[in-house]
Amino acid sequence: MKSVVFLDDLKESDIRPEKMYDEYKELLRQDTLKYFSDHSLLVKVACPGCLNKNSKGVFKKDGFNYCICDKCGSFFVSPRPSDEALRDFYKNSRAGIFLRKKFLTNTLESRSKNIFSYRIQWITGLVEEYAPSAKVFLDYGTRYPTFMKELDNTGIFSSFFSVKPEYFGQEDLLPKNVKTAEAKCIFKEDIDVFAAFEIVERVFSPRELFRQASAACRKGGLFIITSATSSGFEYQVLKEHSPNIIAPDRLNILALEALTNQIEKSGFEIIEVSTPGRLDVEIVKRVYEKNPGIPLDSFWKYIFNNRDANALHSFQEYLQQFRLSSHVRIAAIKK
Amino acid sequence: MNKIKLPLKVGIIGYGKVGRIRHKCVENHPHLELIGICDSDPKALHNSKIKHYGDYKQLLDKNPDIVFVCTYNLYIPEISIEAISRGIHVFSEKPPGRNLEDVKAIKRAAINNPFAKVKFGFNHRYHEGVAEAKTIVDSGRLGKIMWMRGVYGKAGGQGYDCNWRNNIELSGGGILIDQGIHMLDLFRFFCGEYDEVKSFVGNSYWKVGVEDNVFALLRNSKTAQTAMIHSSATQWRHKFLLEIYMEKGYLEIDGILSSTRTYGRETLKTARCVLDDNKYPLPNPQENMTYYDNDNSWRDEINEFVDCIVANKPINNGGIDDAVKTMELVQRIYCDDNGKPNLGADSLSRRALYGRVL
Repeated sequence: MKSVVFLDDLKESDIRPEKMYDEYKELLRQDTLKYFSDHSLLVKVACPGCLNKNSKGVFKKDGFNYCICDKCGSFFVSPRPSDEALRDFYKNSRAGIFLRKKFLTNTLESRSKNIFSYRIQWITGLVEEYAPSAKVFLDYGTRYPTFMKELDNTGIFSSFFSVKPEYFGQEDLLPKNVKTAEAKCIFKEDIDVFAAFEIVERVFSPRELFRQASAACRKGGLFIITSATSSGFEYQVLKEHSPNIIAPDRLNILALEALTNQIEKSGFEIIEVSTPGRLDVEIVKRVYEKNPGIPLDSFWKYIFNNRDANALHSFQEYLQQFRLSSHVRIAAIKK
Repeated sequence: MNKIKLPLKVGIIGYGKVGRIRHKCVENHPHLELIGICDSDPKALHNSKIKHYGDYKQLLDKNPDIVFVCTYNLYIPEISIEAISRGIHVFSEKPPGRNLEDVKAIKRAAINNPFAKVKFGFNHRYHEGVAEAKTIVDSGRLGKIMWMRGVYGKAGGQGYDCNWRNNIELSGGGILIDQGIHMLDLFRFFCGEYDEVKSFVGNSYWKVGVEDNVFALLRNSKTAQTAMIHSSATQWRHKFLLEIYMEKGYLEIDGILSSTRTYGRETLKTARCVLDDNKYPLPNPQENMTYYDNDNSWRDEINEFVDCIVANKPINNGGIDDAVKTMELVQRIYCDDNGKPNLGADSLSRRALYGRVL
């Protein structure tokens, strides 16, 4: 198994401009009240990381109850909206529309440079090394038609599928060879690469997603995901104070080991687990500077007050090296 | 063509550290069954229930399909040739004997007995960092290789001066033939053959009768691809570094996973050359690092060997031709173009170093 570290600089404002992100979160808060205020429609769930049923609510955020699993350490919302309610929310809520039409559109150039290009490098390398004959690519919950276009431009794949896409109203941006599918899983062992970028956090059941990926991939096919992880520095240190714990966008912030265990149990062999997140230290520092009263260990306060940017950069690099950043990417091969 | 019957029966000849590693690999392979171990010291088996043989020919008489030859370098040719001539597949540790003549003799036996597959333990090819670097090189996305630079060094270590590896009768040479040979194999793995060789072979510190430092330059006169190796037993730390510089970027494999984990965390650094507005390279491009957790090289090379036997495929990695060509480089580094040893002023007498072997 391997892990990858990226040593270049990325600022959170490059991909999440603060003002626009705050605007989005405010809309999310208002829409949440509108869509999910009837708690009788919410579904109580066991820990999506390890199925432990005994976790209790630890903090509330925007009307949602977040639990931290005392067994595997995953953060998750319970009770939560059903799959159908979530899909309706992402499609029709003002927050969902704002996210697509304004937030993602305005940050597209930066995302292309700082996120998509890395993903494409990643996919290219994995295919060269592990699946050189790959032709069929499936993107689950597609949110970025532009990414599909950039991937298509590499010429690696001859056909693309987009399952349960979330690019509502932006279909014309897709390359012409993308077929979309709303069905839960219409594929059976014929997919070469099954990708789920930033989807694990949003789906009602990550376990069901992994099961679908396993059913769809051919033997030797690749399953690749990116996700937030509760094992990372940002979430471990800030917990409810993290600006990125937002519901329902992040219903599941699973622990690293919970993610890998579930993927392995679904019939995959893990070949890479990396936490290439580059923002943990910057985010924690910024939260502390904006709100010095938050319960932060004095060691972190000391570092932020007394060490320069080089030290912080090295610390972020350390987090990446030892899989302690809050953004994880995993690649696995179908057995 | 002989029909393959599974599981394949295996004998291990030589049961030191490497023999025991091979034993584990055999145990974990579904198509292999160990039928006996040969070692001159019966205590080496530590009361194992596996049948012990004091004479390797007795083990060969049991008709194994494969033998692993994990002996001192001195015995590798004789045992390998005997096994090959009986139609037994041979997996031998590197180096493939003590000198070029040894491996050429093995090759003659292999040519006369084409059924028997012959492979040598150049396991570094199977390290994940090396394999990933090879994928990147072969993809051509960073252009062609211009040059490589390899450092493989150790601190000697406890009992270094008494180790059999430094007994020229048993080993045929010092740090180069023992450890540096892996780096030479990797140069060839990535870049092919070299026809020009310049070197300094010396003994700086250890008074052991064989070299403890080798500096060598290799060049392919047609492609101008060049490689430089420093193989050292006076590194005072364990170090593995292979730099591969190409037209559009570079790769560096720093550290290599070993059983002792003392060569550092295996890391592959990748970077693209970044040009300024005038198309000149900028210094210090962005580098990405990949870290590897597991050393499956021993397992993977045996898996490949068994696959080749079962499917009757040629050995493409570490086969007899690789062994001959790599030993040719060893010999050319040890000797100048006139066949005389390349010794620095501080070195041992020529006869003590090479007189009996080369």
